[in-house]
Parts: sequence; structure tokens; C-alpha cells
Amino acid sequence: MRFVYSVRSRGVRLSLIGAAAILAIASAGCGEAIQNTGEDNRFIREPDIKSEAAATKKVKQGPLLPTKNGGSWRSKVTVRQIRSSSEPSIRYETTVARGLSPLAGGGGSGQLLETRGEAQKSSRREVFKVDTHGISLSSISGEQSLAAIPPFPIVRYPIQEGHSIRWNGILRLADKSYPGQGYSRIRSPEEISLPQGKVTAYRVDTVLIVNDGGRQVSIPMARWFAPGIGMVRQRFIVGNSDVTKDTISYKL
Amino acid sequence: MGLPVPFLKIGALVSATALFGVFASYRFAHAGQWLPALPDKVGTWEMTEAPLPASTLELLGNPKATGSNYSNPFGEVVQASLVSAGPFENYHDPTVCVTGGGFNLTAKKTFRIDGPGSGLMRAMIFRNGNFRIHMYYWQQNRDGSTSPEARMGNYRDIGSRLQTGYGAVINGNQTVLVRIFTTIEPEDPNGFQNDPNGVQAQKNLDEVAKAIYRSLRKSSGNSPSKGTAS
Repeated sequence: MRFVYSVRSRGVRLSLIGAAAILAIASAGCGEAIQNTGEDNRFIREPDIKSEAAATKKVKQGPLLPTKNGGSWRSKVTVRQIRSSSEPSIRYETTVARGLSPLAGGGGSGQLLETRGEAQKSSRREVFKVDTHGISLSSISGEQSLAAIPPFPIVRYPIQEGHSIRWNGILRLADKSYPGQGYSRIRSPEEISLPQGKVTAYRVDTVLIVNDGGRQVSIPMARWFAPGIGMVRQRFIVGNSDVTKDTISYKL
Repeated sequence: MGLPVPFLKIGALVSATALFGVFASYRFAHAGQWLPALPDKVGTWEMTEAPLPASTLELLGNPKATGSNYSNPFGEVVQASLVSAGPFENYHDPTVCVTGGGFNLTAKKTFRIDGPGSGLMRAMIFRNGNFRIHMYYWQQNRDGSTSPEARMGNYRDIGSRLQTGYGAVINGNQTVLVRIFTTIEPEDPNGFQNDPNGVQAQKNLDEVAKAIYRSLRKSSGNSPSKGTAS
């Protein structure tokens, strides 16, 4: 009887040791540990504030919107009809820096960029307040007329990827004024191909929201600013058209 | 005449096991009673409630759960859900559930949610054709600690399950499963929000995930309360 008991006891001990070993292996991560792998690994970036700051520093610095009078940018304009399979139409435009123009709502003057199509008499005029603090949109006139009072800051210096700006003010559309909000943010730098070579540009997304008696209308725009060159790409919606403007040459 | 000693021992063992089972069930039920509220605003992101479908909840064993969509002024959306983690059937891992819907898991990384010293989470990419979902997943205990591992019940998850069981039964942990995900716009150069490398999608996820992580750390009270995080 004593012999049987001692065998059982040893069996229990062995069982316990075995269970402990299984537990130890299991809790130490038996089987597949979580691995940093996968064919789409490039889509997952581990947060690294230092490397993001370094990426921003790598981009050639310079004014995002050169203000030298007479500077010009020739663009290819592609117009796609939204929710339509029709071929996009293409036209060409030239934008010229025309010096200073009064800001909408007063309070100084800003850089006037006048854009004219090659076969069109009408022009689009954009006024930006450009100073050492950043770039603000004051007004757009032409097919669409819009004024932001006070000017809507779309970029603040120093340029910082991910930085966003919130604006509250008055939006004047045609001859009516509405309370409005604006949001702007700087996205990660992108490479843009120009005939002169590839440049790195900051994509700046903006959206203006017009509050018309409880109804909200959003006006989204995206601009790509290359330091020292200016706007090398723009994208905006006009009515039912999705418009992209790509700079194909420039003279500063 | 009493029962033989071995029978008494077996009886005691069976009773102890039964009692432990009841206790463990109670503790697992207790573990699934914590469901904090999601923040109703995260910076410029506005939250709208988006409850989880009944079929999903049924699959998970009908746990307490909440779901929300966060929208920003640029028209982008990040979806978030919290599922109270009681019994193991609540722990459906995204690598199993999402891949069942025609998606393949194409990338997986583990890193800290909110910088050094913060909890760990798992980032995953699921792809179906050229459509991708970027998802963050972690389990967060009421004491603020997190865990990114799967607990679906296959042999690979046994270590994590033991940890969870120990945490719930012995330590009395209460846990929620956090899923935060967004879509990466396809590589369509004509898309207005074209984001071919998913950089903006991940920035959006980071912003919402950090806010939810901080909000859950703050939610130590018993009653869920709506909050604002930025």
C-alpha cells in the first residue's frame, strides 16, 4: 500500500511538472509570435516623430508661393465630369503673378495670381496674403467668386507635416455673405514630375464649409506647393467637374 | 462506516473543480461588464453612433458593445468599436473574422499606441483586390494595460488565453476589445482623396486611436460617461 501511494505521488509530481512546463512554454509565446511581416508592410509605418521631422527637413525649403512679379506658371488643365465615363477635356492655362491687390474685407494687400486660358478671354484671379507667417487665401474671382474674411490661413510656417488649421469667418459667395468654417492641413510630401525634373511638394488640403441657413455646403480643394516654385498642382471641384491643374513649365 | 479516503479525495477534487468553475464563470462574466463610452469628439473628428449589427453581436456571443464612425471635415471616416471581453467567445480576432469576408491579411505589425511607455496594439492591412482596410486592434484592461495578441482558441493563442484567464479570474481584470479601422483609397490617380501609400489613412487612425486609448485610460469609473478628446 505504501509502495502504491509513493508511485501515485510521484505520478502527481510528474504531472505537475509536465503541466508547469506546458504553461511556461505557452506563456513564453509557444507558436507564432506576432511578426512584423507582410507584402503590404509599406502601408504600416511605426510612429517615429523624429523620422517624420527629418522627412520634413529633407524637403528643399523656400517660400511655398514665390511673390516675384512677372513669375508665371503654365498648366495643363484636365476636367473630368463626376460620375461620367466621358473622356476628360484638356486645356492649357497660364498663371501670372501680377503684384499686389487689396485683400477682401480690407486690412492690407496680397499677392494676385491671374490665370488666363489660351483660348479664353475670361480669367480667374486668386489673391493670397503671403508673409513670413504663411499663406492665406483672401479671394477667388472668375467663373466662381469667393472671398474669405478674414483671409483663410492655408499654410503656416514653419511647414510641419500633419499640421492643421481651423478658421472661422465670413464667406462671401457672389454678392451674398455666409458664416463659414475652413480647415486646412499639410499632408506628407509627394514627388511631382515636372519637365525640369522631379520636385518634392507639400500637398495642402483645404475645405471651406458654407453655412446657408442650416444647410452646409463644402468646397474642397487640394494644392501641391513646391518650395521655391509655387503651386505645381491644384485640384478642385467646380459644379459637376473635377478639375486638376498640373504645372508643365514655370518662369520665376 | 465512512467512505474510503481515495473517494473522499476525488470528491474533494471534483467539488473544488466545480466551485472553481462557478467562480471562473462569475469572474469572466464580471470581466465583460465594463463598456466605457467612446469620445464624442476627437479634434476635428465628429462622432456618430454606428451600433454593431445584430448578426455580428450574435457571432460574438452577444457581449456589451458600442460602435462609432468618426468623420472629419475632409470627408474621411474612421470606424471604431468596443466589445466587452467576458468569455472567450467574445474574443473573435480580426485576422479570422475579416479574412472570412473575402479579405486577405497582407501586413501585420505591433507597436505602441501613444508613444514610449504606452500600451501595445496590432496594426493590420486586409486587402481585397486593390481595396485595403487598415485596422488597429488591441485589448485594453480597466487598469490601462493593453495586449495585442489573438485569443481565438487555436494552439498558437494558448499563452495569451492563459494570461487572459488568469487576469480575469485571479486578478478580476475587466477588458474591452478595441477595433479602429479605415479604408485606404485605391491607387486611383483620379480619386480626389487619392492616398496611394495610405499615409493619410494611418495618420487618421493614429489620431483617433490615441484619443480612444487615452479616453479608456480615463474611464475608470463604473458608469460610462461621454467625453471629448483631442
